[in-house]
Amino acid sequence: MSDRPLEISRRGLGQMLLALPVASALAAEEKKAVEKPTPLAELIAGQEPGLSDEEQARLKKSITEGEKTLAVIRDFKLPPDVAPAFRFAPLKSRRS
Amino acid sequence: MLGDDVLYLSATELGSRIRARQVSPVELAESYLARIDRVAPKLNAFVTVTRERALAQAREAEREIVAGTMRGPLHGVPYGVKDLFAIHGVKTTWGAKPLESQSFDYDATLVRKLDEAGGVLLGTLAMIELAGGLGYNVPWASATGAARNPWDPGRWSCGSSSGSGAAVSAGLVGFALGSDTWGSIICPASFCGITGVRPTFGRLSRHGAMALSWTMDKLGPMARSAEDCEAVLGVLSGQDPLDGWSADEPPPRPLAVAEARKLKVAAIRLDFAKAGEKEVEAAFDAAVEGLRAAGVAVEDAKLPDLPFEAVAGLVIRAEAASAFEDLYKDGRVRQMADPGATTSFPSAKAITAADYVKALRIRTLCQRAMADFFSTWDAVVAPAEAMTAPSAERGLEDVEWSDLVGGMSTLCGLPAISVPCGFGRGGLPVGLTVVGGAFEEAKVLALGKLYQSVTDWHRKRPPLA
Repeated sequence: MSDRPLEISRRGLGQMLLALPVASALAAEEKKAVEKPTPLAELIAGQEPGLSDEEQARLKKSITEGEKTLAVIRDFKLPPDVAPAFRFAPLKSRRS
Repeated sequence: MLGDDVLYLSATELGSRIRARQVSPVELAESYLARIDRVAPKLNAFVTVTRERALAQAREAEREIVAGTMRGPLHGVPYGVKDLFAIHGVKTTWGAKPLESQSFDYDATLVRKLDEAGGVLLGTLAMIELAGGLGYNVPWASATGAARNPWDPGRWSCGSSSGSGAAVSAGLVGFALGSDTWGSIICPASFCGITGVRPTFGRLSRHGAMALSWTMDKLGPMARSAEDCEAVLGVLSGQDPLDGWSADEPPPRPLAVAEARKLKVAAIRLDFAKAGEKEVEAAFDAAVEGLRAAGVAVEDAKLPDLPFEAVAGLVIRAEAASAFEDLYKDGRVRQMADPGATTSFPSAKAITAADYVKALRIRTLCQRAMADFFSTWDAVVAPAEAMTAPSAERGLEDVEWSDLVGGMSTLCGLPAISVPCGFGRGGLPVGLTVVGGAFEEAKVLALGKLYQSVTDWHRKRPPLA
C-alpha cells in the first residue's frame, strides 16, 4: 500500500465501494476522532431522507473521507493533450 | 472413489491421465462431488453444485476419449466458476441475496468455451456480493456467508473470488474461474495458497459475466500451478464478437521455463514498518533470492510516483454506482449482507462527471508511464498481499492492507499472477505476485513456472480433514 497520505485504497474504497478492502494511511485516519462532515456530505445526506441515523452518519463519514481522495484527482496537474483512457467508436448500422 | 492424491493433482496432470485413460472422467467427477458434499459446506465454498450436468459432461467426455476423440488439455477435467457467470439453467446470484433467484438463458462465453474444451462443470462458487461492487467491510458480505480458508477455517479466504480460492485450495475442483476488478483473484490466491492469474484487460471475453466496472473488470483462472493457469488461458483466450472490449490479440504463446532466466525483473519493496506482517516480508525476500538462485536477474526498483490507487478507486466507484443503480433505487440494496451497502450508492454522488473524466485522463498518464517502465523491465515482483488471511469472524475495519502494485497493475489493465511463496503467521500461505506488460502473460507465466520448478510451496495441501 502506498504511504501517500491521501490515496484511496481497496480498504478505503471498501467504505464506499470496492472489490476488496485494503487499508492505507486513509485507514489510519479513520481511527482518529470523527471528523466534522463537509458541506457536501451534509448536502448529499440531506437528499437521502430514507436512511436511518446510523446510515446518515456512515454516509457523511464516507463522503467526508472520500473528498480527500477526490482532492488527489482534482489537484493533479495534467498537460492539456492527455485524453481520457476510454475509447468511443461509432457503431455502424446493419445496412452499412 | 479416487483419493485425495488424485483430486489434488494439477489440472494439466489430471488432463494428461484422462487422455492416457489412467483416470476415468466419470469416476473423477463422482469423487470430486463426494468431496464437495463432505468438505464444501465447512468452507461456504459453493453456491450451486451442478451434479447432473457434471455427470452428463463427464460421461460424454469418457465416451469421446474412449472413442479416441481428444478435445485438449482440459478434456474431462472438473472445474467450478465464480457465481457471476451466466449458465443456462443454473441460477447466477452474483453472491447477493436480492438476486438469489436470478438466472440467464444463455452461457457466458468462457463457460461455453470450457464446454467445448470438454471441461466438466461441478458448480458455481461463492463470492462477495456483487464482487464488492457496493463496498464491503465484513468477510460475510455474501449471500452464502464468509468463505472459509482451507488452511484455517477460522480465517477468511479473501474476496471477492472467495469460493474459487477456497475450492481450489481444498481440492474440490481441478481449477476455477474468478474475476478481478482490484485484487479479487490475486488476494484469494495468496490467502489460500494457490495460483491465480488476472490476465490483461481484454484478453478474455467478459460476455455473460457480471459487470461491476466496465473498464476494470477482468476474468481469469485460479488453479494449483502456473502451468494450469497457462493451459486454461490457452483454451479461453481470443477475441469475442459478443464482447466489444475483448482484444484482437493472439493467445499468449507459452515461454519455456528456461526463457524466464533471461528476463529482467524489478523487485518492488513495500514498507513493512508501516503496514504488513514481517513474516510476509521474509517470505518475499526469500522468494526473490530463490528467483536469483534460479538464474533470474532481479533488481530493486520503484514504481513511477503516480496516484494509481486513487484513480483506480474512483473509476471503480463511479462505474459500480451505475452498474448497480437499480438495486439502490428499488430498495433491494437493503437485502445486502454488508451494513455499508445502503450508503455506497449515495456516497458516489460526491463524484462529478468531471472527476471521472479527470481520473481517466490520469489513467492515460499511468498507462504511458507503465508502458515505459515495462520497456526497461520484463516484469515486476512484489508481495501479493502484505499480510496473511484475517479472521472470518471479525469486521475488516482494522485490517491493515497494502496494495500499491495491485492498484497500479489493475488500473493499467496489466497481467498478474500470484504464486504461493511460503507461510506466515499461523502457518497461513503467502503469495508472490508477478506483473508484466500488457499482453505479456507469457513472461508472467514463465516466471511463475520457473519459480514453481524450484520450489514446492504450490504442492502443499491444507490440513483439512
